[in-house]
Amino acid sequence: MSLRQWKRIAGQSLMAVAAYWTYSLFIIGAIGLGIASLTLILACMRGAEIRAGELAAKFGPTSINVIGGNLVEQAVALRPMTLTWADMRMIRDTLPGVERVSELLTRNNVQVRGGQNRHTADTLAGTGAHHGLSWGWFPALGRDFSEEDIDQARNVCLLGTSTAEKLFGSANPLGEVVLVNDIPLTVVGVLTRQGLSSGEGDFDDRVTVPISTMIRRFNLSRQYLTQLRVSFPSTYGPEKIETAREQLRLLLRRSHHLAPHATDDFLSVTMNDIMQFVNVVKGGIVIFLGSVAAVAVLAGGVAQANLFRLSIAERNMEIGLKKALGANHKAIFSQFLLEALILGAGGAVFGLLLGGGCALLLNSFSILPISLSPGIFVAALGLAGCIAGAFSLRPARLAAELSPVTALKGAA
Amino acid sequence: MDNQRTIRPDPAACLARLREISKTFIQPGGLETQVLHNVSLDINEGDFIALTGGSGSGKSTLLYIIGLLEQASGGLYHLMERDVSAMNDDEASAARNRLIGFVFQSFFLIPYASALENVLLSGTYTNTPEKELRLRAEALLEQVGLSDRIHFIPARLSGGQQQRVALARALLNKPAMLLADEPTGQLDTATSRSIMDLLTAINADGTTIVMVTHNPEVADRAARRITVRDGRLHTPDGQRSRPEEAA
Repeated sequence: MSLRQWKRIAGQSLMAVAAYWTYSLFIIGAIGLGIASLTLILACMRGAEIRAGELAAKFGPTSINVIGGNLVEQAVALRPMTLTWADMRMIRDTLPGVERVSELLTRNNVQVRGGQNRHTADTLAGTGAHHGLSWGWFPALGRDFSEEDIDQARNVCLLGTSTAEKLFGSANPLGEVVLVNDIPLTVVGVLTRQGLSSGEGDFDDRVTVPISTMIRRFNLSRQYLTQLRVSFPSTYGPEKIETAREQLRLLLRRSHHLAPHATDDFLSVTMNDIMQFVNVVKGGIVIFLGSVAAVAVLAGGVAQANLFRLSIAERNMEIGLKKALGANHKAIFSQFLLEALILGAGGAVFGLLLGGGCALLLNSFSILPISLSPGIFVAALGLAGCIAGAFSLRPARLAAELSPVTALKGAA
Repeated sequence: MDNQRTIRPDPAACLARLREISKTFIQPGGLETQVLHNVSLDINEGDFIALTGGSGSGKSTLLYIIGLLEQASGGLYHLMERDVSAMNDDEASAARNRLIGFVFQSFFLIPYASALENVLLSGTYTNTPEKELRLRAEALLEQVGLSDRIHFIPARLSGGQQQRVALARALLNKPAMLLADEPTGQLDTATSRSIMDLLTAINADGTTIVMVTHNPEVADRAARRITVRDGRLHTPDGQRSRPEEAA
């Protein structure tokens, strides 16, 4: 067929798509729903990937967090506190390459009053000076803890964004006094939003105080710590961090007098661990959501094939007539395949708009991080084309192979 | 394109030569029904042939075989000196497109296309430039008296007007042979007469016409009348038709 004939056939395909608009709408809808689900899933996956990267960046690639207790073998309530101030000093003084060791002491579910509101915060945390540098978590408002705050055990605090919002709404909490378990603390800063949650609750629902204040005012252990963060120079690569982790492990095991076959009574976590965990979870989610998307896309394809076949059955006269006028197999096949591709493109646009709209809606609720990228649009368009093509091949071939006399007699 | 060259009409020769053509249909249960028995017919340039006969006599099947819409089960058929049985789908399609025009009882117009678009449909599978096709289509619609309705869709046209559009469509590619299957079958007497006037004029212009009809009045307008009875051709005197007689 010449280019001129192709153009005419394409024009007729467009006319038919418009003329049989009810079929076209259903086919576009069927493909579109599959594409929308796929778009949304891809956007969620991409968003989760970006968030995982952010999380890893916040954690810091050259830090090791050490958490007291055996997290694998002991339930939360049964975990004894095993990390001590002595461990902290030992690590700082003996572990090669250590740049900073930061301490953390936590207590869950504390009553907080402030701004005429009452709230149970998920976490009360005690840390050393320079919370931002130590934990990679800086105040968005106000100031960080100073050495004096620690040395003098001042009644000051940094609020997590969720806690600040619950107590003071949109008002500026800086300089306000909050009562934590009836102990007055002056708000000197509000931490940046983490947007994370764990089994222990919302990371942003917390009151952070100098660790000395925590011990003295809240009567917490003077010997034990909940967590330690060991930071190394930024020049340390993943391999060096792994070596340092092993050294740290051996140091703590010796310090805790653990028998050779005894399991660790602490857990060390690096950015690499977090990324591996994220990848494992992501892999599972990809398989699950991918299967859901594949089913949705296949369902769309099957619906399209059936609707397309019905549409062709209704157009027997047109097929017979065109054959009588000189259309060969290829011309009829091409026309119906082109129609399918036009409908596929329509389905892709509809699906992308629907998927993108849902993604934006989810984003506005802050339920899930969503990221729409040009790659998703290209993938969706390509997939829609493939579905439309693949599921229309048979109906188009049946149309092309239809005997003209049978077609015309059926239509008469 | 090559097909057009090899089957270009030779004014001196007959357009279509059918010898001992038979057609057998196999029913779903395996039952064979022979609808044409050793039919021989020559169709010469400028002929106006009426194929008459009762329902199920085989006249439409013969027309479809002549029009390359149906394949004969046996016999020889040469169209423009070309053996039809040797044609593949592309060649048969090209021959239908360039040599044959069809007019059907049910008009078979595309319902969502205008009269002009319906006429232009015949040009889809040619390489004739758009502009030329459009001019030709407009001229044909004017010739059949529909110049003021070229943008009307079929639903807005009467039966007679729809058949005129179908006639214009059949003539767009300047076919050597026009095949009409009961062209007045759905029209009233007055409209039938006007359609037959048009067909007579088209034939007078040199286009060969083979028409199937069961209407004696319509058949009388043709120069040659051949009756199909039980799958065999008969001349008006009731004798079995031989090609030399039919010619």
